[in-house]
Amino acid sequence: MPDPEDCHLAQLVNEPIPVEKYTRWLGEPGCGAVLLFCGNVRDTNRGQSVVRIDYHAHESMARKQLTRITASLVEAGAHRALAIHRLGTLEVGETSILLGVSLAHRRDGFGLLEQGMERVKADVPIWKHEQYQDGTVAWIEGS
Amino acid sequence: MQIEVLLFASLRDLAQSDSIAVELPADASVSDLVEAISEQFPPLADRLPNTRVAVDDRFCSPEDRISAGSEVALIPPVSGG
Repeated sequence: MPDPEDCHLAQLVNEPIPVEKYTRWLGEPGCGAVLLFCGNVRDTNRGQSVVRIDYHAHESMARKQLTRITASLVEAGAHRALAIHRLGTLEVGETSILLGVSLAHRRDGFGLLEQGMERVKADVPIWKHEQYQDGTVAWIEGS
Repeated sequence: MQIEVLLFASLRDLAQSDSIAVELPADASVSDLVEAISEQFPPLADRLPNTRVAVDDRFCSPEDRISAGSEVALIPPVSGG
């Protein structure tokens, strides 16, 4: 059995997330299914036209919370799991989070991704600071 | 004891700082901390009911104790992802 520590990966990054590189990391011969979720910056929120978002974090805790989530996904049946969150300024369309799992068959993977994202949305100390077309800004607290 | 409490997101704007120094009795609990912040930093008081406390990178319960030297943070509702 591989060491569980080698089977999950959680990172905060300040550059665009290289999705292909992480997809390769998830793949292994015993896994017929690699499932990915990309969260992208949307151009509208709460009726406002969004131009970009600054992502801020309590970095040490966010890293540990993401690690706890990916470890729990492996405990729940994923062969491998990763969560990569980007911080800093992102333009509309850029990817802010990549969550991925790999496992033998696809069926359980969708639930694991959803479970992981629910925990990211609830328990990882990261916040959006949105900038709008009209020049105003707002902190988003709670999803 | 004096505890430095890290602030994030809108709490930084309200306090106009990324941290506050809170006076607490020795062996204070997390709920003592919240009460002390409410008294010592009125601009934050309205937000505290929706804010969680993390000590050393873990969310805490109200009855948990805070030691001198712990890293304490106020965590408003998060919006990552």
